[in-house]
Amino acid sequence: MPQVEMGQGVYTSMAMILAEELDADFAQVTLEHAPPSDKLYGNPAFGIQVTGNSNSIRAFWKPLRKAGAGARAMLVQAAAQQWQVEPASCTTANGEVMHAASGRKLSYGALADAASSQTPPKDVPLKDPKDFTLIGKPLKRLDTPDKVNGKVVYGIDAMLPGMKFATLAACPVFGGKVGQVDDSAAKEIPGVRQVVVLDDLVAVVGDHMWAAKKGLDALVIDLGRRPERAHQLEGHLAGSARGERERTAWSRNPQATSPRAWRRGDRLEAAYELPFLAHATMEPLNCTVHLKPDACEIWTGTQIVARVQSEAAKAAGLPVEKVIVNNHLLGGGFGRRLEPDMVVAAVRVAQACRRAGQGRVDARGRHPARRLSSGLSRHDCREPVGRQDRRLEIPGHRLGDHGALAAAGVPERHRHRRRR
Amino acid sequence: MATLKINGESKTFDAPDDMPLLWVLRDVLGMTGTKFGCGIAQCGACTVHVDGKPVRSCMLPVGAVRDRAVTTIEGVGATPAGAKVQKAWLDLEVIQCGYCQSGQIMSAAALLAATPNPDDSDIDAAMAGNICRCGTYVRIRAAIKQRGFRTSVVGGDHDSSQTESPTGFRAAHLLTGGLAGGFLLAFHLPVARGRTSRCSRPTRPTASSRPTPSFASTRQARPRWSCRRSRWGRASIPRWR
Repeated sequence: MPQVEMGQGVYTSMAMILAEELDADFAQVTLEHAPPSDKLYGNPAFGIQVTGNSNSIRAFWKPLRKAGAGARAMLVQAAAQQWQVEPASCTTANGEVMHAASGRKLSYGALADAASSQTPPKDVPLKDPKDFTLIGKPLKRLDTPDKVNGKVVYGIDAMLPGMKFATLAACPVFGGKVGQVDDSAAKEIPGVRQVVVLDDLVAVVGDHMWAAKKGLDALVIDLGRRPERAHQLEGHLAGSARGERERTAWSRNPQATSPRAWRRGDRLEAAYELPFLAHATMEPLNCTVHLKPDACEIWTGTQIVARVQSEAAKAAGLPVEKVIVNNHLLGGGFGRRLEPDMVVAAVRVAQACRRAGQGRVDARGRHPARRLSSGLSRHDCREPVGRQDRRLEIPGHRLGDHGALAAAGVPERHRHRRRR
Repeated sequence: MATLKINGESKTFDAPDDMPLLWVLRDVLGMTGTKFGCGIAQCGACTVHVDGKPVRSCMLPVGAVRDRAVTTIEGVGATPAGAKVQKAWLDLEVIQCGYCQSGQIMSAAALLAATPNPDDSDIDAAMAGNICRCGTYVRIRAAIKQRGFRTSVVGGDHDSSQTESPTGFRAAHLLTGGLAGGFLLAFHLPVARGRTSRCSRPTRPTASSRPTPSFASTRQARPRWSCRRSRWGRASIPRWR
């Protein structure tokens, strides 16, 4: 499964699309999460392995149907060869190939080996939507049975033998640096193993999360001089207002702002400004890292599996193929897990622990989640409003919506939301 | 070394008395079904039962539990109310991402064990401390009501007079209206909401029908964005020179 499940039901719906064209028995479906690979598992809409933008079904609809239909054709060919009959005389249903004339049938499992040596067909006809047996039917979700009895494993539930736990405080301003840290009280706490001070964050490593949390609370952190970036952020509102006046950073709809549209009725202007907000996923941001001299293994829940792999490799100074990423179910994504910062932070803390002789580190915590919030939820719009036919017309004219999409270079038309 | 009775089994472990039960369960005993959400009893994800009462394990020192029986999400299916809540949760497909649902199920199971046919105010009172970021509240309410109705029909763990209760009647009315299977979900939710909002019964449950408040209250204040100081701890608040 290339896409990640964060509650949106994609494990079930994408399995349905594939099983539909494959004529598989949906009760037999089991899921395995795909390892990182933009090439093999990239989202067709973006070309990279990303689950976001509410586009999994749109992006995978055709590719999954073609894959299912192709595999079904290969299974039919294999059965027809074995029975010495025409492939067209065979039918499929519920994970079996059947030959009605002779009453023979074989399960997909029994045919899998023979089918794998068949040539994949070029253009396979897809089902007519009126023949769908799964798509459009209310089916039970595949991910929920384990979610009612505590068996489900999110990234934060990955537990390794001998693992240490870390929680961290990051500088609350982008670009800010940590100054002096007094860790004398923290080191007295039983269970605290190490205090890691990096340039932009402080982490406490302990035998369990309780020790790490108590250690973090006992730290006295001086954040030093107020970073320049703080002033920049404060000036952000003023800056964006200036940008709007100068028409440099705003997406525009030429049609809605054409002279003709402007001439209509009265013009009103409204500016909406929202502060930086935390995404506040229920599952705190977390990452479990096992860093070895020549390899790195990661357990986490992320919307961008392949980017996590490459960013972790960069942080660890290892080749990408030496980084193994085990992706898990997400306790909520909301776009926050489109960023790999929690993984990079965990790898950096693990590097510091390695130098001090601790191998495995699990960096987690609600507090860093808030502090590391990517702060992308700033929505601004300034909309000229025209009055026409006693109804307010709002020509679309607003700043792009999700900063993560902007950062990923998504074309403007995806960001631009036009409302009428 | 200390011992806890968890889900009917004795578990021995080594942890300081002031360590919250949550971290004993997760980090020491490796029982990860109970979730860490906020660590300050504001989200309800860590809810477990101690002697049948719902408590927030992230704020409950393990030394305060002593020999009382602890039930977690891993063991709640063995209780009659827990098993029925789990089934109702799956029947109505309540769950989305599922991270809060361990806590939601524990709170709902405690509610239904104490109040087999809860009305809306009972549900509000018992579930107010459990937050869901996906917003599954509407289905949670419907699932709790469905479960309450079903026990009354099959004559489960309480007397038959409760089939006459307004909740039971509402649900029976809906179910006999030809709504079943997948359609149940589609129709049940909006109709149930509409009906309950017009309902003019007394809103406060009687003292005897409400779950006894336990040492970690079942009614937590809603989190407020303004309480940064308590969230972050005094020492870690950034200070500028």
